[in-house]
Amino acid sequence: MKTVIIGGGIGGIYTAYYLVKYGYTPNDITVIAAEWPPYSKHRLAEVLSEKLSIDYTYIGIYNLLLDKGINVIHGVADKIDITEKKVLLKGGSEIIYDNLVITTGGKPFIPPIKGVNLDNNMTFYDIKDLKKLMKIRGPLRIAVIGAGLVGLTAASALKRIGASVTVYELMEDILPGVIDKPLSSRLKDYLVGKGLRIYTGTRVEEIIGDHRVKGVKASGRIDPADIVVFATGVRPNTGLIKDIGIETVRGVIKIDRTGMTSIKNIYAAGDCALSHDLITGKEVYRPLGFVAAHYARIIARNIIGTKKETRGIVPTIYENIGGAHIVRVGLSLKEAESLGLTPSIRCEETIDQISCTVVEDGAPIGYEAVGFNERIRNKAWQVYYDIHTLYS
Amino acid sequence: MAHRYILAVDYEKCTGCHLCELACSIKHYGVVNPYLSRITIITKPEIQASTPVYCLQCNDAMCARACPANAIYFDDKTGAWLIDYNKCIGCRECVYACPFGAISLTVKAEPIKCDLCGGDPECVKVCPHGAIFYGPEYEVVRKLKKGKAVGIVYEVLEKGIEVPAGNRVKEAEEAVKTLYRIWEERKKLNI
Amino acid sequence: MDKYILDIDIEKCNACMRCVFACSLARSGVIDERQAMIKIIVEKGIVIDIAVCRHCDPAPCVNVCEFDALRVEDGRVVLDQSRCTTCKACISVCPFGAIRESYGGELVKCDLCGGDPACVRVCPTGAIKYVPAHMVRTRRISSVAKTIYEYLEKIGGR
Ligand SMILES: Cc1cc2nc3c(=O)[nH]c(=O)nc-3n(C[C@H](O)[C@H](O)[C@H](O)COP(=O)(O)OP(=O)(O)OC[C@H]3O[C@@H](n4cnc5c(N)ncnc54)[C@H](O)[C@@H]3O)c2cc1C
Ligand code: SF4
Ligand code: SF4
Ligand code: SF4
Ligand code: SF4
Repeated sequence: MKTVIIGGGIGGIYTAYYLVKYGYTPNDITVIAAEWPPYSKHRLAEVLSEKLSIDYTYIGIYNLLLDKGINVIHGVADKIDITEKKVLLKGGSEIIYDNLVITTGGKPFIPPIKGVNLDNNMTFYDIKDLKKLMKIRGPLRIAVIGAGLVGLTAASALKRIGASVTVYELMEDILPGVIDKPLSSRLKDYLVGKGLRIYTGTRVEEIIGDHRVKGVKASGRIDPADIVVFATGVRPNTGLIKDIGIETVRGVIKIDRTGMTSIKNIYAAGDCALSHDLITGKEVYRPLGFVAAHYARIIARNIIGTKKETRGIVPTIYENIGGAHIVRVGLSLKEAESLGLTPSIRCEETIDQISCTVVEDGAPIGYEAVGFNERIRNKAWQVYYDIHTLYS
Repeated sequence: MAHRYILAVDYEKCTGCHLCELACSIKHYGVVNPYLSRITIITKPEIQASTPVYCLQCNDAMCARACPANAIYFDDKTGAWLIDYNKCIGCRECVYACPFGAISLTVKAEPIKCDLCGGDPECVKVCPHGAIFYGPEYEVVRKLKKGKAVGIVYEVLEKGIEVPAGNRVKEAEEAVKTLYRIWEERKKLNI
Repeated sequence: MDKYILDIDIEKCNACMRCVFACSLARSGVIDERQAMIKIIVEKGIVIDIAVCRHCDPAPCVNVCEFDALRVEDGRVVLDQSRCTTCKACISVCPFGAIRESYGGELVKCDLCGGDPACVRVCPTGAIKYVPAHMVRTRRISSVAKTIYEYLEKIGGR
């Protein structure tokens, strides 16, 4: 039984890891990786702001896996032949599989506005971007578009290395996908107080420049800029599986609770696939590292034959942005509403912390907190535990 | 339940025999081990005092407030704050939060506290001096206060007997005045 | 076997930072607050918290780690750097802020120095002790008893 894994990111490398851990013959595992060694995107911002070596981003287990004897092909998968059960690689070679795991991850989404093709437009998504940004010297003016987790961590890292940073956000609040209104406005005040320029409710209409970026036109105003960083979200990278019959929902691979796609023996995990929400049981697109690893483990279990179905994911997010701690467990008010619930929110506020519990039918379904001092004390675990005992 | 049940120890009656400790540990673990007892007697020989340290089942319990896992809950039936071991993460926050040092840890670092034996405290039954009370709050308080008042009366009377003959009448008068004052105060308190 | 724990008496801590430096020195060979796994949090001149892992059982952090990076060894909750990708899910559920970000996003947390904690060795006031779990109450109780005796002596009773 040969297992072939396409993609050497978090999803791919941890599928291999769990397979080995559960006793699968390492020699029967092949990872096709366009990027190698595997690295963690979660560390890009820290490495940038601390001016550290790229080595810090690598995920340590790849050495262990190589020692155990897994096969790694440093290359790009070009086509999947599901009748012959083989993967064709760019360059002509091919490889037979019994089980196939697709972990091709995502790709950054760039909104279709004028001027995005100019030089010095970039994203903050992978090692290539990091290398580019690490070369920055001097007080450049950088516009970051998008105030999500990626945008804000990138912005505060860039500010630390001396750039003058402006953040543009289309929505009325920052971190719209993570926390709700009362928290995000406190956080915004804090970050603005720390010297980050943030424009919310502002639509970037055009990137100005000839050949290179010169400025950003947003809500009628033009701000000068030397570099534009797009942090406007992630889309699934699923070009590879187009037209082979795997069911997708708006480009995202649909998987069942064992991680299997609509085709038997083909699995998918990570930013290219949907995941299940534990509270509502619905399928959601959550391009997050621990989601990829969760499904990697489930898939490994099922490939070695101990049948295992996931009960779904309860998001657990922490981020430190410019000294503020952001915690989110379970659903936010906005996300719960978008999943068809009718939740309410209860908040407690002190000078250095604001925390909210999201409640549905009297039971907690989410917890969010933003803290501004060094002491982190929160009730996230209570809510996490309650959700798990209540919904599974 | 109309009235809250409480457990209380009369410090003056306790002789420091440590029987309650043993009873508690036997009841919960079947072994004699004072470390596993939820009530602990501390004896200070210099002033010949024994102080029982035990959970007061506070109204607004610090242990429950501090618990990050929300594992400590109030049991209406017995009047005890109980630990839900399914929720407990063994972080010891409650041990540090309790102002009375009433929560102990087992050798496995699991927190244990007085659970009032589900409403039938073993320590009360075993105490040879009747120093531990358990019952509705008003009743226990009355018993304790009565004990105290009686103690003061005894003290006054004793003093009266000890004084030299010539002054005895005067001292007795003082004693009676004190007694009256105590009676007045008791009436005011309506007990 | 008896479980040993770090028993912290916050009132004795005067924020001399010796434990912090010892921790970082023992673990990474340099003296640097960010490499230390113990953190003294001071607010307005008062030590309000000593953030260090409690080695919970069952530990919330171990529960949420999808990467197999946190595990229990000998009653100690340890973090395996090589498996950790810094997704920070564990930080979100730890009630004590005991997992901290070090350089390059690497996470650090106390592993009790394998059984001989450096912080305990250097603490001059005895604010951090490494003791069998069941001894903790003895300390708590004796301070309570002391208060009671002081009171009894003051009011002249016994
Ligand atoms: C800046 C940033 C910060 C983040 N921070 C966090 C965080 O703090 N916590 C968190 O949980 N998540 C975070 N995320 C999200 C997280 O990084 C992703 O969810 C995770 O990397 C997804 O893993 P994956 O394996 O699905 O995809 P990836 O890690 O993207 O890996 C996919 C790999 O497959 C390769 N590949 C694609 N197609 C082919 C092909 N045809 N042939 C061969 N190889 C191919 C790609 O080159 C890539 O290496 C962050 C993301 C970013 C960009
Ligand atoms: S354990 Fe302590 S804080 Fe909790 S109810 Fe008992 S005496 Fe009060
Ligand atoms: S030890 Fe258990 S009961 Fe005590 S505070 Fe921690 S979780 Fe709560
Ligand atoms: S890191 Fe936090 S949650 Fe994990 S064992 Fe330590 S104190 Fe408990
Ligand atoms: S026990 Fe060891 S690792 Fe933990 S804080 Fe102390 S010195 Fe550091």
